[in-house]
Amino acid sequence: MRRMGLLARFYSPTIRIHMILSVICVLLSYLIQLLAVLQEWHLLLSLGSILVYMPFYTAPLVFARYSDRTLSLSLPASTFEKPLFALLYCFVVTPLLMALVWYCSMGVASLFTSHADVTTCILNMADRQLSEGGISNLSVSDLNRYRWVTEMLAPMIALYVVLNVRRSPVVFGIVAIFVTLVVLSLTGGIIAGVYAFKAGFDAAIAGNEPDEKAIVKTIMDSVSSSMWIVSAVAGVINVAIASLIFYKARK
Amino acid sequence: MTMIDLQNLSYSYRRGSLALSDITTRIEPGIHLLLGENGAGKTTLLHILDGLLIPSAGTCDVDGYAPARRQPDYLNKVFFLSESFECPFSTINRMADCHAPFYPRFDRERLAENLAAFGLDGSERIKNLSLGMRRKAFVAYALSLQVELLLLDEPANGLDIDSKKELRRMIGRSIPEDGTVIISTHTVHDLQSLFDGVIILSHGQLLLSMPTWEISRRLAFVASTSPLQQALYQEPEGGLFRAVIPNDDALDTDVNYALLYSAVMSPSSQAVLDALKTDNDEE
Repeated sequence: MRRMGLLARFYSPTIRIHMILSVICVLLSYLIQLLAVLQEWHLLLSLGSILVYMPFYTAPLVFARYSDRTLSLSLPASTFEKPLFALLYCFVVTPLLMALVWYCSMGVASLFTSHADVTTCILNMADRQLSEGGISNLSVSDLNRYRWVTEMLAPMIALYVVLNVRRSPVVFGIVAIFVTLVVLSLTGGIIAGVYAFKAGFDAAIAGNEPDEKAIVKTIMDSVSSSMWIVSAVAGVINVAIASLIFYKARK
Repeated sequence: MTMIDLQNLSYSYRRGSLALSDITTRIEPGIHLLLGENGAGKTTLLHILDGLLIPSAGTCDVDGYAPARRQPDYLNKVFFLSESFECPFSTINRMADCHAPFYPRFDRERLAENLAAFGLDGSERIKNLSLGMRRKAFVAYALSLQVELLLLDEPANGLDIDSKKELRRMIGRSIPEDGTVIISTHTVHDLQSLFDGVIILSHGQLLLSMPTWEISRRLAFVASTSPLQQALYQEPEGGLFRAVIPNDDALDTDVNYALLYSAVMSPSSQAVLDALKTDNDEE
């Protein structure tokens, strides 16, 4: 613990900046989502949900700021301690800080409104829309159950990049986050597209007119049933990259 | 006692260029001057000693530690101040709070003393300091860590004349008794009187590694108004001929590192090296 404390001290200049920005991002995100729930401005929800993930995605950049790489490489900490600290900061400390700010915001907001628990409000709203539209009986929270595993991919890859790239770690770290998110979106889009095509194709074979709601329902059901596979693959990739981070630190 | 033992040490970069080739030497505790032309492999050697690079062949042993393994017990005994060092902390005092706790022998009083000698107190924002002042602050900090192996790359760069004198005094008083300092510099003259030994590299090869007392026992560095017959190497300078001669008469002369370097790098280098080597063999 003492060694982890020393490492926290060493990285404190960037940790402080990241923590301040994280608090601002989560607060801002909460306010935006609360406003979206109260005013039913659904477009704002996307902005709010992107913003809330920013501290998580950008946590690896804490370890990228050091332009003189020799200082962090020759720091008298073991090749196990440094990556362990980085992983702990990105995947334990940052989410805890985010949760703390989020629940504190909720606590304060609950003094003024009954919609303070915006996450539940948003999920209920989405579930209601899905079931009222007759699209699916699935709960959105069911679909999101393992989302955290796939959400870890972007910061995990970014952490690997910033710890190993020799030049411009900040730039490469941001590129890694962006590229991973784009690839994840494309993968999701391709999977949904395949299911949509299959649903439309099945309907055509059956000689029916493609029903938009039925297709969406098929996609939702299929995505839901295959979500664990996606999460398992993402989990394996996460573990592999984390192992690679430890392995490369020894090289 | 920090003893460095290099055995057949080689290092080549990924592109295939050989930066160090078959270096074998033993470096005793003390202050050592590391000389060589640009690209000679000086910084590569310092990186290997700091554990930043892993030798391609051969071994590097520092007091029983292999630097490449980057063990914390080794790393807290060594500090490398590169020429292009950039400090991620806002002030030197902040760096002492956040970075120095990793170094058990760090001496805060010495840091204050070293900084004061350069007219600093450690609270100045580094980004507001001039290049020379920054360098002073970093050198003052590096010396206060009291590490057993200190690697300095061009520590006198950007320093004014008085500061170079102060740096010489500071290095002299800040090095622990059991410590070893390797200073890579092209401005030999400023720190002339400090060195206990010299290491000369050229094109990745070790030309010379020897304690100062041994060099001055075997060679004499003299000046004459006319060329000297017995000179192994000589060059005109300011109306005089500065020469390296065999020290057959046991003259007590200071080693002129700049002249020695020129001699070792000149076409007559073999004669100079033979003069050093012959004596070795006789011993």
